[in-house]
Amino acid sequence: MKKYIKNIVVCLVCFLFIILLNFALPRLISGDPVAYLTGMDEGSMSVEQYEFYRNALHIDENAFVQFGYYLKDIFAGRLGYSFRKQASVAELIGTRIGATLQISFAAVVISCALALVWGLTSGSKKGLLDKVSTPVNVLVGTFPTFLIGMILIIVFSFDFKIFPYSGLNSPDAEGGAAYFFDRIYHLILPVVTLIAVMLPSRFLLMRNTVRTAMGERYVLFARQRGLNMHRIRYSYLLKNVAPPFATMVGMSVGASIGGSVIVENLFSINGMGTLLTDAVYALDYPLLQGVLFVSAAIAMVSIVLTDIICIIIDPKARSEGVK
Amino acid sequence: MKRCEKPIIALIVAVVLLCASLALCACDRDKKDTDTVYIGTTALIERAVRGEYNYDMLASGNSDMPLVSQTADGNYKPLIATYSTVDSKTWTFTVLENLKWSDGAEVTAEDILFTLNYNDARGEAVFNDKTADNDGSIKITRKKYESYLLSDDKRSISLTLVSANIRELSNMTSFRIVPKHIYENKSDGEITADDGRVVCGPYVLTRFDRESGTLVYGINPHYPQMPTVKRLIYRLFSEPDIMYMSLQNGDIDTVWNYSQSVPETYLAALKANDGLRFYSAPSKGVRAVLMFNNSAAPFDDVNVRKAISYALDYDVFKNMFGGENASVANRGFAPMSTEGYKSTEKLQKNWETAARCLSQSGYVKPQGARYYSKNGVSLAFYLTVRSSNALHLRYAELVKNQLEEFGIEVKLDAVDSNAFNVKTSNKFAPDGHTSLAHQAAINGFTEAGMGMGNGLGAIYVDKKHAVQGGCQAEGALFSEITTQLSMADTVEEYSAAAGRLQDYYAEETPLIALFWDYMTYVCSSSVNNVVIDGVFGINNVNNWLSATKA
Repeated sequence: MKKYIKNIVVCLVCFLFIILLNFALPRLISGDPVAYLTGMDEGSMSVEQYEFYRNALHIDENAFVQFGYYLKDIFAGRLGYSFRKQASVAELIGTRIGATLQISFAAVVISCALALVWGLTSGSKKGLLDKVSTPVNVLVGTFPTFLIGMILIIVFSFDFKIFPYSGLNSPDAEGGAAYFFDRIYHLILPVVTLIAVMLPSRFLLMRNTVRTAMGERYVLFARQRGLNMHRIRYSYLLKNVAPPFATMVGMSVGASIGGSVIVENLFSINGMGTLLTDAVYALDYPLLQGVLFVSAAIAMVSIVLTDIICIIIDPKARSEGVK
Repeated sequence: MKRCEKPIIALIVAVVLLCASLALCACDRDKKDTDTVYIGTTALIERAVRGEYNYDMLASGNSDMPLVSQTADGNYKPLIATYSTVDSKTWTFTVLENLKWSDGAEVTAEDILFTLNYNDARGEAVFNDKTADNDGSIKITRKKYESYLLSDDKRSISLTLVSANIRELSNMTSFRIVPKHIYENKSDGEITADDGRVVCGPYVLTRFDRESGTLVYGINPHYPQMPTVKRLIYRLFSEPDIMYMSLQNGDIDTVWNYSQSVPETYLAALKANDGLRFYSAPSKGVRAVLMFNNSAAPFDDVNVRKAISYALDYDVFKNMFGGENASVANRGFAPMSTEGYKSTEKLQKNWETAARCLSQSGYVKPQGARYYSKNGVSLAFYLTVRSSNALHLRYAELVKNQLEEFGIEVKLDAVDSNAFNVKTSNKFAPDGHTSLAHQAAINGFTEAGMGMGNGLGAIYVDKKHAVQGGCQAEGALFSEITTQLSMADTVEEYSAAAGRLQDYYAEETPLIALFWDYMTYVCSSSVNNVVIDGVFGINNVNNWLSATKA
């Protein structure tokens, strides 16, 4: 229990540190903070524009007052303003985050479920499945996201012409069930790509955890009692490997949002990944800060939730708390 | 039924349902649509409204057309207005019969006048070349028009230039008009996306769908001529590799990016596909330019500029980056298809001549030294390049490698586009337009850019130009030639002045074309009667009025 509470506190401190860094970095970089905070070069601004931005960004106030404005902006849900795109960062992220979550959430759920079942089966039973699964996952785990995506597109979109490879919908898709299925249809390849990227490490973690647990006495006793492997896997092993599995799921959320940058570019999806790429190329610092802030927030929330779930599902953690 | 069988059966039912729906989707996907032409582009379009640069370039080819177009062989055709002039000083534009905006309102010459004023008020170099002064105030550096006269029926406008310009139509190939009846009395913030999509071309944007990454154009019912192709669908790709594979696969009919040819790296693979046709036209733009700052050391010394022009191996550039019709450029810079072209000496690698040029300016290369030096200081310069342009970075790397092998140190200065503009163009220079911060830069000049002002890329060379002027060239001879160009009343006079400018380029070497190339476009063989435009390539109004899809 103490361990998990400590983790949650560390996580919150890290998040505060991220907020602080987000505020401080553009102001610490040598050069004019107006240029960094607007994402535009001061040379291309007129004096009036420059003064306008300087006032709007409260550059002449002291650092604490500026930080106050920054926090106010965060709590107001604006997350700053992209002067390049002429919209609030929250608005820009809001229009894109849905697409990213559709890919990454589906990929996290499916890859973790597959890793759970596959890892439990492979780790609990030495045989052909384990002999094939482990090297295959080690091999696939070395493939970069871009390569996996390209292979899937070439095979399933261009050779067999089964799945689409760009956008989240067909141009003519209208609302209703057809729209829903069209969306699912378009999501398949990007999600499969992200699953293929995420699955190997998760499978190997599960498989090795289960393989270690197989030597535990509770498993031996269960076998001695004549319980079948299916029951041992899902009633005994699962409970014991659940905390590391839950932690893995929590960590996957942050990683999947990072991984979606490449997938979104490959499949021409207008998500947060492409927004981040635009921000990097255009040196749009407010947008860059906003996207990183939201990614960090999602990762942090998922980690905190994971730790809370671990406390709930892990009897040992609960009993430590009672003591 | 056993308890464990239930989820398995549910899973099987779910998979069957999913497969059935996907099969339906896949069937839909195989439908061939002869009424629609699909165009792939990697242009980044976010709002799809007038004023967004990439969208403006795309819409210029189908809906928001410019006043006139220029064919691949250099002739002009009216799109919005016919044109006439007697002395090349007063140009009369008459709006075509029955031309209407997509909301049904009549297009009039007042729209042309309103747009000139509208753009002018936004600091664009239309009525006047403008630049910001030190204090941020707008400074008019050169007046373009003296006066204008609207006809009584509001269909014609006569614009009188300050001085005759036989190439005025070139400026009109990228001049698009806005509807006065919508934009008048509205501030920028009051103009809605729908306002920004009222156009007078043959098509009108019917849908911009970010989720599918498409822009769908339907026929503008008010356009006097009916295009054969009923719909144009532009698919936005993030990855060019995927876009070209899509073309190979027959999912799109053509690809288009403003002022870009199909890259040589894709051409070999595309040419193996029998379902594709290729269209080639000599480029009026120069894709790879080494631009010197003629007002800053070491390039204020003509011998150093000349030395570099002889130190580079142009065949390597041509073979590595150019298409099959690419050629080594002349010292006169302007490509052969340019109006007023004059043949000058071919650029060639000649290290002896390069060394001689440097020695004339006192540079020596001591035994064992890597670089030429003068008074103990090595000959070195910063080469500014856009970090976001992979091709330009490769040009810069090659220039660096070749010059360092010869004995001139090159330091790459890879900067973002914004910083690049600040360093290399007068419009963005912090002090108006007196001194730019770069020493040399890699740039690419579009067809439109090459044709603007006096043509022959002079806007990039002229230090006094309000917007460009990256080469910072000045002096009595250059001024005299540009004045002669701008005063030319006839084609003969213009050609004579253009010849002198190319001789000046050859002799003074203010900039170098690293190679000349052809623009290559690719289109599915199911699309017939394709017309290529000199400015907008395959995506142009004349093409969509002529093309048919089998």
